[in-house]
Amino acid sequence: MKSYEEMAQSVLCRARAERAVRRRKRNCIAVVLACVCCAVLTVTAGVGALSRGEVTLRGTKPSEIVENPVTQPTDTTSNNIYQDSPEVTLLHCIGDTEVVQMREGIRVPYRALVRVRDITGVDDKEFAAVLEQEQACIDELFSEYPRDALNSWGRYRGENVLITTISAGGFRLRLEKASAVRGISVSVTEMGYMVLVPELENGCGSASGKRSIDLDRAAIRGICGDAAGEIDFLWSISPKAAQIIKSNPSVKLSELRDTVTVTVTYEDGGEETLIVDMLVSDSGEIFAVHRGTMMDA
Amino acid sequence: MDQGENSYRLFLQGDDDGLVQIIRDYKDGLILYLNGYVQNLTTAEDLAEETFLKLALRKPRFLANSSFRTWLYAIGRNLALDYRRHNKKREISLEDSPEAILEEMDLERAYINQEEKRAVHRVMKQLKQEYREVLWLVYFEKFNYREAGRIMGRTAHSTETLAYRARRALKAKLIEEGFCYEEL
Repeated sequence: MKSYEEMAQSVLCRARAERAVRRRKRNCIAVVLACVCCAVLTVTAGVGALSRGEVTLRGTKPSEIVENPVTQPTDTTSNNIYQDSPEVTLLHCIGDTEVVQMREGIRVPYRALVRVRDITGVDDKEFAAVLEQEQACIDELFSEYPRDALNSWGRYRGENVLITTISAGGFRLRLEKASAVRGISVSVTEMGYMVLVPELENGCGSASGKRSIDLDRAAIRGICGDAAGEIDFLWSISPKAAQIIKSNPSVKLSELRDTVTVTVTYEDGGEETLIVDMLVSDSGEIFAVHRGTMMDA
Repeated sequence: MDQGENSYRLFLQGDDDGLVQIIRDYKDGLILYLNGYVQNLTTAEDLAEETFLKLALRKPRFLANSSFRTWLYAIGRNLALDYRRHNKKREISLEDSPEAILEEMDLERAYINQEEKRAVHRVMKQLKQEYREVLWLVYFEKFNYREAGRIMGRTAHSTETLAYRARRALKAKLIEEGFCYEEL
């Protein structure tokens, strides 16, 4: 049996230990409460900022792209009207009357951008002059962005066109090489670009001799060439999507969103799958964004 | 104001010596009282320690409606009741070890001066629990009926009646054992 001194010592020690444990518990609870309060405040502030339009969420809806009207740029040094939005990038193409929308959140400085080529209506000299004028910006693009950072379908002077970045290393499209494809009027330019060929029919087949191209029965296709002027592969939009566009040119953007898969088959048996998101705006314009690798490195 | 109250006030003011004094003054009596409840000296000692720990940790307010000792015993009794409730299904050996018996005898010797009273205390173990309790409080601890009733959760009258019956039962036992104790 304990003496009273032993019992007193035991009681006092246990009391101290118990108090320490309770203090720790209280501290832990205080920290947890502080964290919860902080999280609630952060979320509240975030939602508030979102509702005030100070913040843009990632993953812009296609309909939002259309809702932002495309304006004609007057300041050619700052053409991206969505400078502060990482999600929607509006790019100005060559010429002064058409603007092409792009999405997928890649911000591209103005003029370090894509080339758009009207199949039939653009004068080659005019086009070459624009290219020359923007050469510095193109060089800047090459240093900052990876190859094939941007690709998009657009509409230029009444024609559907495919927009693409110009790949590093002087990627060059020789449209002459594409002349085998019916309906394309081609010319050589200094920089490569891609052209959408409206209503292109089947029958392209292998163009470069290096690769065979897996063509599905697309109603709309694009064509792309390399620096040597050889066609690398053709783009295609799924027949379903093309059918919708043809039957209803004013289809709403929100109503049509199709992912197109293009399979490129190489001579050595290898394959490359390319993914393109295609959208049609309310006015019937086609927008597409290339999500896969356009060219093998 | 009794000594216990003074000591408790001292402890509440931050002096641990106050608690030490309380333990010194009330430990043995409380253990023997609680032993009448749980019939196990070690458990009774643990419960007494828990009683003092409760004072040390929670620092309950003593309202002076009774003596400090009454209040302390009531706290100890509540703890003993809790203990019995939680250990109802647990098998409790009523046969103490020789060491425990010796310890209890030592404690008795320290707390109960007269040999005759110690003999009575030993015979009391044969009575039922509430008789043991009331006899301990009234006869050994010298609580009046009101105070004993406060500890036991009874009225003074009920406690007096219980004490009368307990005394009669004890007398009968003492006669059986060959004792003759006039104080009862």
